[in-house]
Amino acid sequence: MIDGAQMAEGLGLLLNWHMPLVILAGMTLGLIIGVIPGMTAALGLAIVLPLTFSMDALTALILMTSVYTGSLTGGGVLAILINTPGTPGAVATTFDGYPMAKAGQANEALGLQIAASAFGGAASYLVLLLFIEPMTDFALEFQSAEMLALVIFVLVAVGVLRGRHLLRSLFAGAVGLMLSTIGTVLTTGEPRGTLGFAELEDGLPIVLCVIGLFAVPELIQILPRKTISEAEARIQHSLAALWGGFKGAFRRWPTLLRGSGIGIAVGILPAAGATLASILSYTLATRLARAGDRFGKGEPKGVVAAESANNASEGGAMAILLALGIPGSASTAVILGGFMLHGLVPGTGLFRDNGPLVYGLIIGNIFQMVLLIGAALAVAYAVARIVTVPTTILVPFLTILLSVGAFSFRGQLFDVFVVFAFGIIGWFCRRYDFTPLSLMIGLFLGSQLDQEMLRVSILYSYEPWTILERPIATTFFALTLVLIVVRIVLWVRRATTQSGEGRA
Amino acid sequence: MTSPIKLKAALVPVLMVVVGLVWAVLYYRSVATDPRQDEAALSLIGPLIWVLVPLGVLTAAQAVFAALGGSADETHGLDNRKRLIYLAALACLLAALPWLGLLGAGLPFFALLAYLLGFRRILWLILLTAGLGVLIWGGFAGLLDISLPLYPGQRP
Repeated sequence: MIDGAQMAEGLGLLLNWHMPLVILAGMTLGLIIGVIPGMTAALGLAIVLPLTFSMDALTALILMTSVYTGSLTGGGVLAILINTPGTPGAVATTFDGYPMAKAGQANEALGLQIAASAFGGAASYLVLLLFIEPMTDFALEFQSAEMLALVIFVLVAVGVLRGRHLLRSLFAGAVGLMLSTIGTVLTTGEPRGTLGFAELEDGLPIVLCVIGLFAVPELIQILPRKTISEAEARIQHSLAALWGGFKGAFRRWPTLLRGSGIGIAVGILPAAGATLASILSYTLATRLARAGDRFGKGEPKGVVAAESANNASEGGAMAILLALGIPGSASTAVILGGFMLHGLVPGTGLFRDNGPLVYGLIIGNIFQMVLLIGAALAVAYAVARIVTVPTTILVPFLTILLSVGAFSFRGQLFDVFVVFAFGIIGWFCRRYDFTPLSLMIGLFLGSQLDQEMLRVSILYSYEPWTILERPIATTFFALTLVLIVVRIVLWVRRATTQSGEGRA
Repeated sequence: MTSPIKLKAALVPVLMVVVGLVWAVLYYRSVATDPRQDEAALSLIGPLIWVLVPLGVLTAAQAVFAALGGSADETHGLDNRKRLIYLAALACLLAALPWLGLLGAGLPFFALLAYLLGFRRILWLILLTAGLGVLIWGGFAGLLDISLPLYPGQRP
């Protein structure tokens, strides 16, 4: 299943003196971002993206995935110390991590969390390494009809799973698709929708749109706070207890394996992501509780279940990104931007043309998990100082950094305006539940869908129903229908319950 | 709660839908009536406009009904003074950037915004502003060799 020659070549690409430094730097930044409540991996990645301009593709992607890995793990640190999840995926970690900290077992809980995160992440990339070929074969089955069905499924799935308002989410996705078609039409060579701006003739700079959509709303959101975390973490450091917790995670190996499995499976689903994975894993662990387990009151298995699934979702999300080019979250969308920035298009072509790079990236990510342990322990120690950064300094600083990053993208001031314009749009979308992730997926997939629509209309113009003879496309259409029906049923059931309560 | 007050909750979502729809329809019309474009130019946006318009109407209607039913979110627009200051400062930065460059506009933006947001440790502010200048000039322009318009009137 593994192509030995390509893997060896990929390993060769990694054997570089600067690679461990890049991983450590990215990991540390990611951990810092992760422990800061409200700041997401997407913002960290957005900050790092411009720095990768002058790097080779593998180094750039390793740096970005290191930030991603670090932020997923860092999110659990504050969840344990002050009951505040640094990232949405760490919500389930608070259920038992914080009670452990309150009971004087903060070090044990941090040890459990770091071990479970590293194991979950490593397991997910190992699965990705072993099944990379079947995934490629599966991806090769995707032609125009399948891509059309998949794009529609992804947009509906994001609306159902992530958005509180399905209609708003779908509307945002449709506007994103429309926006992505701005630029020169391939068949005529004439621009459309550019409003006379020559800078838009190549289309909107999608990477910058994504940076704006996710980074700027984050800055606006944290402004009212004095410091990023308003409660300072206090912890009595004990290396022995930390190590004890670390070993304790492996003593609870069934929970560790189950959590990792759930994380990988859920990570593959577009838009489901770390939050859903960790909550599902925690819920299952509580269902399988034995007598004496104290879930919700400081049960170590709870921390292991949540954190292993949280980090294992990363491998699943990367699998779907590498094989199909579908970003499952804001963070993987910015990573997708990193691929595009370096002239790489995730999907079938990536495996065919850049096999060693893909293997190098996966092996590099497994290596990251080893370094993660040391970096996470160091950050857990230093966290109390990090969370007291005043927003009055941080927000202006990051705004300037975003401006520099946006300008350096193509050397055009126009791009700085694009970033902040999409930032404002993103803030309103986030504030009023128009699901920025849907808008972003529309932006990313729109130009591809434009071409697929043209091909589909040529290939199936006389008998459009023949699309349904293709099993994968039919499956996605059916899944889309199921999602919509489930959503409607839930909505009707909720409305009936509410009206019943109202009458009572 | 009276109906006009209830409807206020739906105002921004409905406005967002209207802006999106108006732009989409104008965009579609500009392509459809452009003699230089062919049918391929409408392969996606043609069917999409037929999806987007009813979807927009439904979205706006849902926002209005939710507001009338009292289940609309209690979210408000730019309801925080710091956020308004930030947006005003951002507008000034964007207006000044083409004329003053990244250092000329960026450093005053950083120092003034930090001060207006409530940072009052002047010595630290001066040091941090200088540090940011060094980072842009030395780090981005110098070390990473990125061509940036740093000074007033400079073109990269």
